[in-house]
Amino acid sequence: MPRPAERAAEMIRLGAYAVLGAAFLLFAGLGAAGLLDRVPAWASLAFGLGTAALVFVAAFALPRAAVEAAHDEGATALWLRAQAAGYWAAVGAFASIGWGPEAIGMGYDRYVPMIGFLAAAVPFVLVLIAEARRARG
Amino acid sequence: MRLIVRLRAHREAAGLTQAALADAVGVSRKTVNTIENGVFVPSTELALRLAAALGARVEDLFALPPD
Repeated sequence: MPRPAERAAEMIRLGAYAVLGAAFLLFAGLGAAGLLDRVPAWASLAFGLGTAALVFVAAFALPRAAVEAAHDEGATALWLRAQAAGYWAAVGAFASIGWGPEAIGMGYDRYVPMIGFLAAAVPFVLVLIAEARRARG
Repeated sequence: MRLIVRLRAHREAAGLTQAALADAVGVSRKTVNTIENGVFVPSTELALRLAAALGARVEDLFALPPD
């Protein structure tokens, strides 16, 4: 069993990923529904800075050894692979702008924010799936 | 190229759990597990720390497959 502090650091890191991934999926849904203009201007800033602040505060508050173990090179490698997949998701999303709206019968003004936020969610969703598989292993 | 990994055998011979070895080298148990399963190839630094913790050489823990 991991040490409690290591577990806490890991859960905060993964929790931040989950919140950001869920926020991007939510924004994608709102974009598809044409409701993004109803989101308060501060909401995206609050999600981004809030989760980053949580991870940084935890990194300073918890014992250094536990934080380093929770953010070790195995976790870093996983995150880099997820980011690489996110890069290709973004390229694919951009490439789909020319034909995607017509293919699914959605207006350009809704398709672009939807596909953009879906691409942004990809690395967060992938890293959470990979971490869940790693935990079972 | 797939690395030959003998970490599990050396760890078990040393009487250590994955968690104990992870504690000794400053990584998570999940990372030790993925190294043992050949899913993750550790850095040179971590390989050296693993070898030191097990009283072995890096070449004892990891090897290139024969040509």
